[in-house]
Amino acid sequence: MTDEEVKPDPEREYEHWSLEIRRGALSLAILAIIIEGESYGYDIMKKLSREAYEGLQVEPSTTYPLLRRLEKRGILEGRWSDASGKRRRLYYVTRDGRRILRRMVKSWEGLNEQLNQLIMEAGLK
Amino acid sequence: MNDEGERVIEEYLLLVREKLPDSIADDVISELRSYMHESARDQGEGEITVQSAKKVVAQFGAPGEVADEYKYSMLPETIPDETVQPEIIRESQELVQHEPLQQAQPQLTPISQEDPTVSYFSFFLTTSVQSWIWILIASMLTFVVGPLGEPLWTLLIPICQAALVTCVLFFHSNNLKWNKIILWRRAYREWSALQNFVTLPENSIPEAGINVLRLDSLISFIGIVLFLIATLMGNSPFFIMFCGVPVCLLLGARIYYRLVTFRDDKDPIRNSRKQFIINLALLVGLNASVFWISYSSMYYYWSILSNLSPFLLPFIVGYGSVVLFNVVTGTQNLWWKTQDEPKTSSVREKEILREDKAELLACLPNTMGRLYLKIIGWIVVFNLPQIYVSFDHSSFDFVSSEFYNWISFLIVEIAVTGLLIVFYFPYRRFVINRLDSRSIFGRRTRIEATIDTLICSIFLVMILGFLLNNGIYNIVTYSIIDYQRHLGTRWSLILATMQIGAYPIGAIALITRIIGNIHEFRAVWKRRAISLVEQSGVLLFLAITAFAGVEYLRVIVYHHWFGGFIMMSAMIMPLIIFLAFQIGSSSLKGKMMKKHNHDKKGNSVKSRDVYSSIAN
Repeated sequence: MTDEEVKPDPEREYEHWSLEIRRGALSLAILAIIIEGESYGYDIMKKLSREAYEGLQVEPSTTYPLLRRLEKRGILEGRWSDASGKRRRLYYVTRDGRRILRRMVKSWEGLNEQLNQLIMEAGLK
Repeated sequence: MNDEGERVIEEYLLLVREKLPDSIADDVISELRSYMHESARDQGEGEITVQSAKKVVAQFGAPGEVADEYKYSMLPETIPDETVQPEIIRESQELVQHEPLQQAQPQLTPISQEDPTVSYFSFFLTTSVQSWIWILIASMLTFVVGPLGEPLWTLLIPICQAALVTCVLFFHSNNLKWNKIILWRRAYREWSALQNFVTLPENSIPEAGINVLRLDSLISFIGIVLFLIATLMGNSPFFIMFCGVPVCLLLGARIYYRLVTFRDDKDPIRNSRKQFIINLALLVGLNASVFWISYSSMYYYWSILSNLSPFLLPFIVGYGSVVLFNVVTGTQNLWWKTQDEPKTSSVREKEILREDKAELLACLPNTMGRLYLKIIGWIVVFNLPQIYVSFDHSSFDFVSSEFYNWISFLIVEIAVTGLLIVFYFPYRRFVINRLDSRSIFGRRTRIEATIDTLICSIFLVMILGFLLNNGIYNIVTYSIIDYQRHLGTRWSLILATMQIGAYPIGAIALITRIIGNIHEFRAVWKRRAISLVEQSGVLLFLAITAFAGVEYLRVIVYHHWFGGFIMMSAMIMPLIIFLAFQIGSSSLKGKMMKKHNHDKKGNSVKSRDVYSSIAN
């Protein structure tokens, strides 16, 4: 690839950054939704599609595999349920999951605080 | 239902299925179908239309990408490296290398039951029964420190506590039912019947939030204040010994673990076993204090405990219920194993550790011998005034029982110390050899320092109370005359000086010790902490020696024979041996640190390491 073919594309970088941020935050968001009880994929997607959580909206093709990954890592546990007449996979946060969620929250708060500090110092706010 | 719309979804799912490994295909497709149907039905206003189905399919994107996402998440080891982006490879490798959390623990087989959930009534019944069993155990344990049931009304306290917990559980299970929270059964074949019985279903007890923990710490603090007042101003010595001081310490420990959770809550149940023991001991202590409250009301003319009972009893009932609830919900954690961070050490570190170990083991017998001699030295210092006093009082007659009492006490102390060293030596050898300890003497923990500070503070308040309450003035004006009348001018001056000296020296010793304990909290101050603890030990030893000497002489002069000699010896011996051990070990520890610090100037990595290990 020559230099001429590489066109500057700042918008693409923003989109990439935005997607990365959302993907990173998604695990925390999903765990925060499930922590109060148990939930299933569609319920989570519906909650995330609300206007209040616009910034967290991602495709179901990302959310569903993520739920499985969290399950595989022992953070969530899933079970099939026919309780409501519909076959759904319900997830709940395990003990390890709760521990990890606490760490995620702390880490997120610290990151947020530090970024805010930098933004303030740079006079961007 | 529109068959066309459903067909669109099924065709899409078929394409995804083709790209998925067989092992996960059914499960994944089932979940996707469930989501797509539901979503399409919502978007098609209750019906799966072709448009709504296509919309849902479009949201998912290419079937190959969806299948890949699932494979990365569920079977990362099946992805060939060249087809995946580098960051995904890295992540997949991490997933394979770091065992998933659930696999780190042994595989468990659920006890097969058709319904994997637990009914709300069953949850309520099981936990209520557990709370009554625990209150029965706690009440039986009170027989050691303050038997409940004497008088009979004291039994109402544990009954009220268990009844309160039962009520809370009733409302809680109804609340769970109201919020439709499913309680998943946690019962496995590999677990014992007891573990299956005490393990509560998943989702049944929510984790305490920060505000609840703060409130709990505040109530614990109020409890400390109440029990401290009862301890410092109460006139029931058994209450102080069995309930007052232990309950204050246990409430302090409860606050400490709350603070640990605030500060570093990587694993909220890391200390669950310790917390369980603290809670159970606290429940026993709180309930046993009811016996002493009722006892002091009956047998003491004026008792601060009786006056405080309107505050103490509601606290014991209310907070005791909270503690009982914690015991019931914490029992399941006794089997819980936390996953510790893997310890990694380089070859160089291992080599240093091996060399250190060899060096420590080589100097262990010699150090133990020196420690024994030092302890004996301090024990002799303690006994000398008493021996001399007994000798003098029996007109320097060698064949006096008082004189022989103290000589035999000295021999017993030396023998007991020798026995303790005989056990301590192999113990430290084991700790260095097997548990990789990097110091000859065990290091003092922050919990020990905190408990020590609390005890020192109580005694310091007592001494300052005596000094501020004209204590010295009374000795100077009354005691000297009294001593002079019984013992003559020479002895009266000696005893008065010893007595006057003992209190301020004791106060200085306790203050030094508290400062030393504060120094324990920073690794860089560790050396100073050791030195301060040693100095305070010496001062405290001298104060106790002076005080015990005066008290002993006073008793044998006034009563000519001290009947409580054996009891006093038995009570004082552990304290004397402990203090002598602490002075001796602190002195040796300080010398070792000084030596290694000196070597550090020669830029020796090994000595620096040893220094830091001792300091930490």
